[in-house]
This record gives sequence, C-alpha cells and structure tokens, in this order.
Amino acid sequence: MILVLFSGLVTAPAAFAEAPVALRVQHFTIPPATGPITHVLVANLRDEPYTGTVRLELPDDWAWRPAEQAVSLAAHETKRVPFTIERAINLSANAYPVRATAVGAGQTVVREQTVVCASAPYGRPTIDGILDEWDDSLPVTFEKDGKNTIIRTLWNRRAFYLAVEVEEAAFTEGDAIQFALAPLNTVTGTSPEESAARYEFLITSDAACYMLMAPGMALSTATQARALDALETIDAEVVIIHENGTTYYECALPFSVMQDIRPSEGREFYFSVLVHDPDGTGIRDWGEAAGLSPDQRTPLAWRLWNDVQWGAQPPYDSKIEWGLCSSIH
Amino acid sequence: MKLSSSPALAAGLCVLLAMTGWAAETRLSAPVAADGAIVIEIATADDLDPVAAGKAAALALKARMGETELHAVLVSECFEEKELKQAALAGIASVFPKERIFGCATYGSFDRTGCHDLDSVTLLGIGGDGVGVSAALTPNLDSAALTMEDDLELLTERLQKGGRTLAQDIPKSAEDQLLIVLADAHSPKNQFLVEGLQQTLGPDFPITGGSANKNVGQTFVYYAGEMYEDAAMALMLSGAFKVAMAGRQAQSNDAVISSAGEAAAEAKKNLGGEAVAALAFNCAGRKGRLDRLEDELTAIQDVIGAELPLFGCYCAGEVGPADSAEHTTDALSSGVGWHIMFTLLGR
Repeated sequence: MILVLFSGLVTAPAAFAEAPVALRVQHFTIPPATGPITHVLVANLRDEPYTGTVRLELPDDWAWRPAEQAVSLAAHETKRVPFTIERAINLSANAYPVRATAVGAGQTVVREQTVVCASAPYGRPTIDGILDEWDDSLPVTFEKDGKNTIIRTLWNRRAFYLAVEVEEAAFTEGDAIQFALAPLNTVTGTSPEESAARYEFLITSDAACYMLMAPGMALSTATQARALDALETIDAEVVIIHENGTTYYECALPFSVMQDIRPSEGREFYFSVLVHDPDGTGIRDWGEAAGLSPDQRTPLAWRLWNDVQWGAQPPYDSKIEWGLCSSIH
Repeated sequence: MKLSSSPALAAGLCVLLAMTGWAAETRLSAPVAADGAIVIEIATADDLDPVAAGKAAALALKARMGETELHAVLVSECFEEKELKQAALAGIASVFPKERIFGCATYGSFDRTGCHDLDSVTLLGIGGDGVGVSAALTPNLDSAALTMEDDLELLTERLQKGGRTLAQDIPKSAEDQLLIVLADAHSPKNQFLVEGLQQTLGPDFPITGGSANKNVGQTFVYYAGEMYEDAAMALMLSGAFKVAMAGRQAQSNDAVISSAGEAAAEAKKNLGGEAVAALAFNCAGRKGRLDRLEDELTAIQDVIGAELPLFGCYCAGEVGPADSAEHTTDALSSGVGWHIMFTLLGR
C-alpha cells in the first residue's frame, strides 16, 4: 500500500501525477453548526476507472455521517462525495482542520486542509470604507509572502457586499481587487470559443468598478487585455481607504447586474478574488489558498486588463464554492 | 376583559404578572361543537406597499372565510424592515381585530396559488365552531443574544423554561389536537424550546411550527397584533379532528423537491381520512437550494391536490418529526433545521 500525503497548501505537481486521485474538501457555504452537507471532491487522475472509499475527518466533538463512502469514478471523472454534518461548533477564527482519505487502486491518498465557512451572512452595511458594520461577516483570511488578505462578504436581497483588507505597505495606482461570481453548477470552459458563465468585476485604485466579463461573452476575451477606459463602469458603491499598513476596499454590488444569481438564504454559487499588489506581493489568489489543484489554473478564468500579466502561471479557476446565509448574530 | 365583539363567542384575556416576567394567555373561541364546521383558509398578497399587502391579504381571507367568524389569523410576512413589518400588521388590523392576529416574520411563504418572496403577506385563517383556538405568549425568552458556542447551558435552561412556561400558560382543553409554535429560536436552539414544551405537554403531543426570520433587524413574533422580539408564541387547536405529521430534511435541489412530496405522502397516508387543510413549516435553506421555487410546491400538490388549503412558510428552524439520525429521541416532535414539517388536519 502506497501512502500519498498532501497537507494544506503544499501542492507538488509530480506528487499529484503519481496519486490515483486528487482530493479537496469543499469549504462550508453555511455555518457548520446549522448542519450542512459538506463534500469531498474526488478527481480520478488516471486514464482508467477508479474504485475506492473516501473517509472524512472533521474537528473533534463534531458528528457526521457516514464515516466513509464508496466511490467509483470513470477515467478523469470528478465526483462530489457528500457527508452530512449532524453536530458542529462554529469557530470565531473561521478555520477548521479537516482530513480526507481515499483508499483505492492500491494507494491511500490523504489530504489535510484548513477549510473555512465561505459564506455571506445577511447584512446591510454602509459603504464608507470603515468596516465597523462588518462584525456579522465570516472573515476568510489567507497569507502570501507574509502579507495577510481578509475577505468579507454580506448580502441582502438588493446587493452583494464585499470588503477586502489588504495588508500592504503602500496603496498605489496599480492596486486593485478583481472578483468573480457565477451560478452553481457552471464550469469555466476549456476553449476560448466557449462562452463565459461568470460575472467578473474589477475595483481599481480610483474606486471605479468595471464589469470585465458577463455570462455569454466569449472566453477568448479573457486573454485579450482590454484597456479599462474602453469598458463601462457599473453602478456599484465603492470606497477605498488606506491606513496603518492596510488598504480597505468596500463595495456594494447590486444583484440587478447579476440576474443569474438569485439572492436567497442558503443559495450556493461560485466566487473568488484576486488581489493586485504589483509593488508588493504581486497577485494574491484566493484559489491558491482555497486548496485548488495545479490543473485548475487557467487563463480563461480571469480577464486580463490594462497591462496586467499573470506571470509564469495563470491564476486558479474563479469558481470556488461560496454561499448566502442568514445573519449569524 | 373580553375580546370578542360577538356575543356568540366567549373569550377572555388574562395578563399575568409573574415573578420573572409576564405572560399572556388567550382563549379565542368558545368550546367546540363535535360536529361543527372547521374552516381553514389561506390568502396571500404581494405588494411593495406593506399596508396594501396586509390589507389585501386580509380582505381576501375574509372573503374566503365567508360567514364563518374568525378565531385567529396566523401571519407569515416577508418585508425587510421593522417599519414595513409594522405597516403590514396595520394593514391586516384594518380588516381583522388586532387581538386575533398572530404569527412571525419569515423568509417567504407558499400557498396553493404559488410561492411568495420579498414584500408578501400570507395569512392562515382559522374559524368555525368545530375548531377551538387558544393562544399564549412568552415575551422574554432572554436567549436571542446567547450562542451555542459560548452559552450552551444557559441557552438550554432559558429556552426550556420558555417552552415550559408557554405550554403551561396556554389555555388547554380535553379536545386539544395540535400546538403551533412560532419563536425567535434559530435551529438548533429550537430543540431546547421544544423540550420545554414537551415537559408540560408530554413527548407524544403533536407540535409543529417554525422559527422567525433571523436576519438582522427582522426577527419578530406577532401576538395579538403586536410585535415582540426574543419571544415565543403558540396557538393550540382543539376539536374533533385528526392530525397527521411528517418531516423530511434535504439540502440539494432534487432532494428538496422529492422530500417535500414524500412528507406530504406520509402525512396523507397517516391521516387516513379527508384532509381539511395542510400546514408546511419549511426551511429557508431548502428554499435557497431550489433552482425553481415552484418545483417543491408542485411536488406537494401532486400529492395533496391543488385545491386543498395550504399554508407554507420558510423559517429559520422547524418543529415536527425529525428526519435525522442525530435526533434519537422518542418524542414525536423535535426542533431542527433543513426540514419541511408537513401537517394535515382532517376528519
């Protein structure tokens, strides 16, 4: 029996190629104490079918079922294996250590991760650059090159709210937040001829908000850098404040510009964020911190703009699970 | 102090000042006639103007009730601000006596005509001399600010006490059949409230209901036309009728739809008679997982038919038979989440 262990953000392409399956525990889209169903993504990396079992381990004092599930995958097929959380405790740190194990094809693959509750509670903050009304959000924190980024989201039936705290020494003209939302069960195409299924936005340092991509647009536009002054801004409220080594972006985005995402408690969708910090860490990608695998990097997932370049590797896919939930307090 | 404006009804309101607070209990109807009429009707209105929505729904309900005098109106409303909710209640009260108006803020409703989201009012009217109604309120649960993570012991104590007090205070009779409870007790807290109710009523008494919308600034329970926070209210229905309950939980589009049909089918089978009306306390989370809201309603109506009066609302927790391995209690009802709690009333 061969044991293959993956921990946290350590992703070794060679190791992934050797393992028969890749595992990822999906982030919770509602607070775990409400008893959600969580899923383990199991991707068959081989050219032949895979049969095995998948086991999920969650934090101590939690209860879930089943303990393990049988899984059968066709060549290169990915399945979501469900586990029902029956008892859990919400942690204020919003970070939950988990472990997924797949046994099959003569190997045991283990993936250890820290998952978060990736969800926007109901709220109605005032967009003023001061995040004192965001205590009800579920902060998602990730780090790159020693610098922290905190993503917060809220919602109500009229708007989706995003606040991003970027730890950086200086706020400069090239700084920006690029983010995307997409309905559940959509996928990022693999060919430029396919159509996009996402709403993609850009907040620039002058507090303008541009729509970079909308469903139906050709994915080929993603790889053709477009000058922002040729794009229309959208009617979003944006305030940006930099103080004490952190830049605070705060935005209210009307759901009216995202007709395919119907706001409702329990709604699941896809969401991700890129932070542009060209004079500091470069691009900070939630997809990397969320635990996506290297083969999920794609230049079709995010649109180039102005003179932005992705560097040696394109960003990770912009479709990462997120949810809308009731107010948590 | 008598409530009723009709000499045919004898109703009384007692306001008790207890050591730890006060409670209200109300008998809203006369003793039931064994072969009397049971009239349960539902009406809904959607309108950006909450006064107009409340009034329109109330007028429609009044028309459907015909000559039958209303004992109680149960309100499910989905307006986003306190002032708008107050206005909706005022609209209802422009038609019905305030003292007859009960309910809570929800995440939307559904009835036999369709599903209703923001800016809607759905009313359940109960009348007829074959059904008795009494009501009670526990206005101070003292639990809204407590969390499962930090205050489990205190939360359990207070909610059990709240449930116990509610069940003790509600006027009861030998013909009691069903307790409907609406409370500020988001799941899983609602389980403690139900345990308290059962400490008085016993584990086998049929209890159903839901938890009020828990979004910030929107959590209200309605009792005698007034708004309360951090409270629980209940209606006790009595008479010569049967009750059949079923609960199902689900979290994906397909499972939400199929489980709703299953719950309706189980209740229909268990009723074994002709249904008069259906109640469905449903989880707002289930609503959020539906690709099309109406698909769940269709699954229900494929079982019970499109004409049976149906009162459904989306809640932050549900009370009824739990469909969960985690709930190993022998009690008939539990407080849970992700469920549709389906109840048929019939003869």
